[in-house]
Amino acid sequence: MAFPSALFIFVLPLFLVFSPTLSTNSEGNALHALRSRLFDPKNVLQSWDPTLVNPCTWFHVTCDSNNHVVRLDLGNSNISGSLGRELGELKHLQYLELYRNNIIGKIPKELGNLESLISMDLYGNKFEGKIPKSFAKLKSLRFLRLNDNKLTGSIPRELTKLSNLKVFDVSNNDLCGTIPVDGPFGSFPMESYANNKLKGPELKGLVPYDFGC
Amino acid sequence: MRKAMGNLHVATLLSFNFWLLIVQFQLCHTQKIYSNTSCIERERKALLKFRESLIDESHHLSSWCGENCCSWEGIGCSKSNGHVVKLDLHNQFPFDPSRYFYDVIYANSYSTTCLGGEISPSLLELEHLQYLDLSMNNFSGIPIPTFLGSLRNLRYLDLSSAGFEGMVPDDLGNLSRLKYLHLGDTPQGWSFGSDFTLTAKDLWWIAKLSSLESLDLSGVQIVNKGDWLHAVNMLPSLLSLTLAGCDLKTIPPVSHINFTSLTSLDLKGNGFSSPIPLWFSNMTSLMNLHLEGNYFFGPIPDSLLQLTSLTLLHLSSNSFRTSLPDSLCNLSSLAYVDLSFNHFQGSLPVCLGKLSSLTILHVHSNEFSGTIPTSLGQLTKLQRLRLADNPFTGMLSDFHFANLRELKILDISSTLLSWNVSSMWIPPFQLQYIHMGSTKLGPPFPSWLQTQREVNTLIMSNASISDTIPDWFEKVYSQIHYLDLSTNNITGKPPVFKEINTFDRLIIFYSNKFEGSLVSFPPNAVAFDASRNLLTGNIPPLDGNSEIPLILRYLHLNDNQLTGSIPDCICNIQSLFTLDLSNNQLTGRVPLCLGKLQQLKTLNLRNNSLSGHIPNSLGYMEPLVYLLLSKNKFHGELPWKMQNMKNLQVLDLGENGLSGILPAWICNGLSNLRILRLQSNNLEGNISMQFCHLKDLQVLNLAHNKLEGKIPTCFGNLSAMVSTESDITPFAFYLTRHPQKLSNFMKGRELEYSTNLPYLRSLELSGNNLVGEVPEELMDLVGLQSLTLSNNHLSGRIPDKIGNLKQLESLDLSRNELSGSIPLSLSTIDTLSYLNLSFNNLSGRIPTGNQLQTLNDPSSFEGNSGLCGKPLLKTCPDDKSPDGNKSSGRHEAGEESYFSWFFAGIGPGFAVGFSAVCGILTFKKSWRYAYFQFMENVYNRLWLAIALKTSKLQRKFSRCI
Repeated sequence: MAFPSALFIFVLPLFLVFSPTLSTNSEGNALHALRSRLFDPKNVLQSWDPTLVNPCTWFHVTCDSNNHVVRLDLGNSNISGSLGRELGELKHLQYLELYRNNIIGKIPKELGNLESLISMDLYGNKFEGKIPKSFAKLKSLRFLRLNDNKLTGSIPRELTKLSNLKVFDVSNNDLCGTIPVDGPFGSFPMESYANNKLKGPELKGLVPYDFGC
Repeated sequence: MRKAMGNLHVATLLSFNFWLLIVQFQLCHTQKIYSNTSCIERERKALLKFRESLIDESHHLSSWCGENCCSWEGIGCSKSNGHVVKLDLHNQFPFDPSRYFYDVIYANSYSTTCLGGEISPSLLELEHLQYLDLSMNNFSGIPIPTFLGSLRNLRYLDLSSAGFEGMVPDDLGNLSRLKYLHLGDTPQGWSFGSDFTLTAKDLWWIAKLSSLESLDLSGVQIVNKGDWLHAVNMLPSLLSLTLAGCDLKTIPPVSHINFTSLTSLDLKGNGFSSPIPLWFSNMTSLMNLHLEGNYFFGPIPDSLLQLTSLTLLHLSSNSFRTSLPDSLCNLSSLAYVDLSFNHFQGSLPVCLGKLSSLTILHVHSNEFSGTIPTSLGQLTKLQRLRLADNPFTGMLSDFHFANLRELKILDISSTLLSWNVSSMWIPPFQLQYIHMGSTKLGPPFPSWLQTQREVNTLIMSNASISDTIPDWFEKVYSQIHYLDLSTNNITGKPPVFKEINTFDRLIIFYSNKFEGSLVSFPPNAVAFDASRNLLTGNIPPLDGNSEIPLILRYLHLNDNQLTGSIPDCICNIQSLFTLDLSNNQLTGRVPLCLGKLQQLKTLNLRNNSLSGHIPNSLGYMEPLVYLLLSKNKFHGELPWKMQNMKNLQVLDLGENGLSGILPAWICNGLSNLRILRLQSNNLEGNISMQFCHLKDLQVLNLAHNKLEGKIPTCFGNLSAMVSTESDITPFAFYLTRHPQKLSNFMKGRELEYSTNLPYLRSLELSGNNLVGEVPEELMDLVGLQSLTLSNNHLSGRIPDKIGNLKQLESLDLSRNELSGSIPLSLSTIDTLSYLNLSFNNLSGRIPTGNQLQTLNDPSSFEGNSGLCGKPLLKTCPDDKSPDGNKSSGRHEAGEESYFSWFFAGIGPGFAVGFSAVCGILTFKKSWRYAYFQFMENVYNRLWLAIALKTSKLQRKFSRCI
């Protein structure tokens, strides 16, 4: 039995160095899962060490004093790949800034679980599919910019419940149907809807909003 | 040098028949050799001449005197003619790699036992030499002498691991009687690099050695390797072939193979990337097959499953991504199976229980799943079972171990297995190595462990144990070499260790809830880590009367509640590499004698209540790389001796009471500094221009001192802060189990950096009395993630080039006297997530942009009376047509307020106008008459006009129809 123990003792110091401390942080795990989906040619995510107790020292991540992730700032970072449902784990996230990248695929409906979200900037990517109805749950949302993507379908009427919404931009997509006029949608400028297949403002009581969409 | 390492294997099966071969060889060729025949004078002189050119530090050859050379150490003569036929000078000192690489004393004593020097051509006088063994010595890179090719009678030549370098002479191909040729360097194959590398231009010289039975060229680099197999194929007598670590890359196609008698084939570490070739099935006598450390892929081929003599199958570290066929169980001689570090899938075949000769089963680090077949419990000879690091599920019951009487090594770590054995279970085995880390083992200590009395390694880290250490456990661990109980919830007193006869003990129990005081350090320990517990009391004294030299290298007692002072006896542990006592409640002074720790690389005393001066003697610790003394009560000046610490990369003296002038010698002496933290002291004076010479400096924190003067403009030369290259050299954390932690003030709060420290670039000068402008040159530090200059008296404008700092996440310029407008370029920093410009004299419109619009906390801008625009409530004077700027307005809520004001005005306006008209009509009779008269006229005219128009239209329509 000399051999295994000898070899073992030999490799042990290596083990000592590399054995990671455990991460039990669900927000860190969620972000790490996000990282695994993303291609990162500029290595902006290299500091995302999943073995750390929390992700608060990861670059492009900001935590509050309770070590909950409140900001994710990855605008203009040259990242590609897609988003996954795990982002919905970031319950305390206030700012989701992923603008001007090359992210593809659908916007996960789980983003509707980010109930603390104030700003969601997904503009300037290659997102496709529909705008999730689940966004109606984002009661604190003030800025929602989805412009310059490849989104299709109609603007969910559920979004009219977002009473705090101050800025809404879906221009330069492939959206169809009519434009809502209820709630905060009464005050958004027409530029917010430009370059889509939208049919103009919804005529209340006359045409179903997704008529012809 | 490393042949003895091979000896370590002898006990195991793996090289059994290989050794048999040598024994047989020696029987046939040494039976005629007697050492008591008197030797031939010419050969005696040749041997003495040979000895002259050797370096023999430990006097192995002291017996080489007197007339009868046949009785000299290592010499054998032929009985029939008295000629020297054997010269065996291999180093007999046992080689132990674990000690060689980590025990300096052992390594030195090993090295002195090696022969060195030159090989004298006088050896040629020994014309009848049949056996030459110079292995395991150190000839320090001399080439293999070409003249060895003239020793025509040689049958056995072993030059392995002897420090030869350079080209292997082709002349060795002339030794046509050679049966045994070992030139290899690494008995372990590819896993150890060697200082000296042999090279051969090809292998064709070997083809002439047609009698060759055993060939080992491990580690020999072959230049023209394309046809290596064809050369080897010329050796029909070959029984053992070892070409480990030769970097052969490809297996050339052959129509048939001639070495069909081969019993042992070792091709590990050659970078082969193909399926296993079909001709393997022709080596019908093959017993040992080493293919580990390549990139073989595909299924386990039938050609391999036909080799019914196979006893050893080593496929570790390849690229197999397949499941195990049941036909594997037909190889009934299999004793050693290693499939580790592949991507094998599926479950383990139930029939494995039929492999009754199996002694070693290594399937760890694969993607095996399912439950463990209970048939494994029938493997009566099984000694090592490693299932670790696979997603195995289910329970391990006593059936799994029913007949494993011989089991010595059990590794089930990092699986999803759990135990289902009764508390009365008495296992049939006595284990030596138990690894159950990262499994669900607890909450109680597994009681079957108390039956185990031979354990030398026990790892139960992260095993969900919530229990006190049971009384019986002392008997289990008392003889232990390596105990790891880390990351559990173990409570009660920490275990106490008695002295045992071993040289390298590792005692690890960090991150538990051990309480009470430490009675002593574990004797014979190399590493002792009791950090992150609830330990109280003093640091224990060292056992003074111990005769054994102290070997402790890693001492981690950090994150406990230890009190008292640091005892002077710590200075006697001169073997220490790492001393971490941080985050305790230690008081008193730092022992002056600490300078005696001449091997120390990391000294972490952070966050205690240590006081007094920082001793000058620290300056003698030249190898020190990390010195962390922050958050204590040190006072006085920085000891000037510290400028000798040339290897220092991290100097953390923050949050003490240090005073005096900020010394400029830091910059001259400590030129390798990467992190310098002197914040929250009472340092005075200017920031010297010398700081700009610290080329590797990536974190500079001088905040909260009494520094004066300007920020040196040459700060733009701090090149480590300029580089944005992502592949920066990480810190060498010097075998510390836990990466060193340092906090950095960033994003408005204190953040604790550990593994991310190498990436951090931060400049913090806040809370001083700095004056002058923010130097434009700072905007060249494009790698900065954090820039904090708050709470000074900086004046002038924020440099327009601030937008250059593209990596900036945190910018704090608050509480200065900055004036002018906020540069528009600020809006181009996409990474910015914290901004504080409050309490300055800034004015003008707050710029907007992609990222800036997400930094919408008004407090970032408050206290600047001249600022206007979002997110402040104060609108700018030129905001009259806020939607005039459409491109940015689209991203703003700006127009929203305009519209609401417009619509808000309509209501009251209408109400005022309507009530004014109605009021007048009610109270003024003449106006009322005039108004209604006017309305009636209008109505009449309108009615008339409509009636005329409709009649006209009716006429038109009737005509058309």
